[in-house]
Amino acid sequence: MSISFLSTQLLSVENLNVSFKTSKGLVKANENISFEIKEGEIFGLIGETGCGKTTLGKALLRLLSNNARIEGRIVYRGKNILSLSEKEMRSLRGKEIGIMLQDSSICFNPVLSVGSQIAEIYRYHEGMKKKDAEKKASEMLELVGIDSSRKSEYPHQFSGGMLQRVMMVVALALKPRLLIADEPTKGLDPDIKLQILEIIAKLVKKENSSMLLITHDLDVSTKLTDRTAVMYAGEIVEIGKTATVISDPKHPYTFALLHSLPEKGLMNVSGQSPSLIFPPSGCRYHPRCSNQLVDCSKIHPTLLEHVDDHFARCLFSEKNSKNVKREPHLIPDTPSPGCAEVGIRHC
Amino acid sequence: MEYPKASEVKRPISENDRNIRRISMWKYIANRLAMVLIVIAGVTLVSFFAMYLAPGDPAELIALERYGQDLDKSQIESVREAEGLDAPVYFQYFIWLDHLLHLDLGRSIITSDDVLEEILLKLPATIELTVAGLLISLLIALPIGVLSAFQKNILLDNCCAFFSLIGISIPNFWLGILLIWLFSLTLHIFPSYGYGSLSHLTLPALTLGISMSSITARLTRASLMEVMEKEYILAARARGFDEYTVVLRHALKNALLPVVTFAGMQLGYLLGGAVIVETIFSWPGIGKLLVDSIFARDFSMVQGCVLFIAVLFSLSSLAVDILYAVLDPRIRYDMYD
Repeated sequence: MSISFLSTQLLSVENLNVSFKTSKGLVKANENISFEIKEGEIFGLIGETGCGKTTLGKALLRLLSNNARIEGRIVYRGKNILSLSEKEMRSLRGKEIGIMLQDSSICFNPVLSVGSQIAEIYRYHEGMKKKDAEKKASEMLELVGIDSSRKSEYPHQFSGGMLQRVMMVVALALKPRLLIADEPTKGLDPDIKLQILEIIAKLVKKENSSMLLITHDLDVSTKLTDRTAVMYAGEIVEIGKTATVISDPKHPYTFALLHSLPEKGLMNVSGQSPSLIFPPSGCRYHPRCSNQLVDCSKIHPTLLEHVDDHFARCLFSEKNSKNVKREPHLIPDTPSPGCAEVGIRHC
Repeated sequence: MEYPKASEVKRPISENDRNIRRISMWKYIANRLAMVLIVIAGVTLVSFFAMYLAPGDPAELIALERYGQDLDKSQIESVREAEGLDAPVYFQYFIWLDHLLHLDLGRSIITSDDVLEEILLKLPATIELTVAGLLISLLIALPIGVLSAFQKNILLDNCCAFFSLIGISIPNFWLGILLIWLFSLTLHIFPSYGYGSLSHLTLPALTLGISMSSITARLTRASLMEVMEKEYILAARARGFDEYTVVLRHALKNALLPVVTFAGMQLGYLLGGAVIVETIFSWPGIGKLLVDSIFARDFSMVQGCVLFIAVLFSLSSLAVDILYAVLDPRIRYDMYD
């Protein structure tokens, strides 16, 4: 069983720490992040603005700026991404792992036509002739419902929703095994939003690829993902199968997020998101938490398994839940196949 | 859910759309051209009336030239009548304008040469110097700018910055004299003045090129560094392109936009005659003609030169505008959008 589990694992992130040196201090954007994505799985990463989701997505492809410090391990199909050379990294980007960066309106070169920006991917990576590459670019545009005669037009002539679709084409052009989609529906109308997500999911499923969907939109995550991780202030606070996370949230932050949805009462999550330079002591969520205990401001909770495959980082849930598995709660640096059997691979 | 193929959906608007877009480039050029004409009309006004603001009576000047030092009043008056200088000023302007439209800039009051002919005679030398100077400056500036933008080596970047600063600070005339001292007087490689061959061209072109390149290099560096921070550069890297492709294909064209503007302004400025450099090297261009005419108080020649230079300047800025639109599609379609 452990062998079959290992063979389906595509990407695993182990104790990832990302920090930025700034003039105001060390910004700890990601702390002790561990999770894994299986082949064919759609994995959701949700959290509010500024919690470190985008940093995590870029860190996976080593696309962060020079002042970023990355520690830990990112293992993609047996290779540690963080120890690859720049050249090996390039052969990974686009071909093995595609990324849809946030805000498609600034992700296209304003002086090159949209068609040529798609075609150059085929010319560069697959050595296609100019004509073939352009034909392929037209096909790809048609695939996402854009008239191929518009391929000679420039990014500023496209609407936001169309650029988002072009972005998708670019990210999926080389049929990557893993697609990282960072807020693919940001700023889109609800009807277009669903349309775009359906196209992405269809294309990803067709190639049996996996997807890391980064979003602050719980609705989107609920509809599409198999498993979900909830991030708060640079940490993962809850992780599990999407259905169980939604139906039975173990972390008060997840609970609050869920109840901020219109159909659940449109309650706002009170307070402000914390500073990543000086995060709150103890549990990072405690200043905003309605279930605060005395210890919450002193003890930093660890990620514990509450039910099978459902982990949360909360003292309150820990106290109220009878079957929390207390040992062992931290993943070793290199996961042994044995770990997988007890089901502690996420923490 | 299945989506109908876009090609199967009829979109009657799109063909029309593209036609409008194709026209927009011409519309853009026509618009710029209209602006240039307005500017030139203004220039004729200024260059005509500026001569009346200058001290001295033109009739007296001409009479001085014709009859020598001891003039009497009647001689001045007869010149005034003969040259039409007794008519009201605005009337004189329209007559001058009428001549201008027939490409008649009048005659030099000193040598009686045709002004336009004289200018056109000097134009090739000026163009030669301008093109050579601009080429040299770009050949120096672009590699230095690109290199110092990417050089992780801070020492090299600082060296580039240091030499750029020196280049900006050194005045043209001093650099010219320095080059003459080094290459003609000491090493005897290039002639120090004159016109006619490539070796004559070298020193003046170098003087112009070096002094322009320092600013262009700084501009290229700053612009490229700014572009490299853009999200679409990150997006290009995320597509797995190597740094060479990222810089040359994705960054450089964007980064060159301000450089093109600057080089275009330089071009206009130089076409008007690099006055100082032409004078130092006795380069028979428009700049030298202008300076000589000013010293000789040849006001019809000065008037002609100023007008000609202004027109060249406007045309070169028109060329920059068009080039800009070719480089950046957002400008091209602005009028349509």
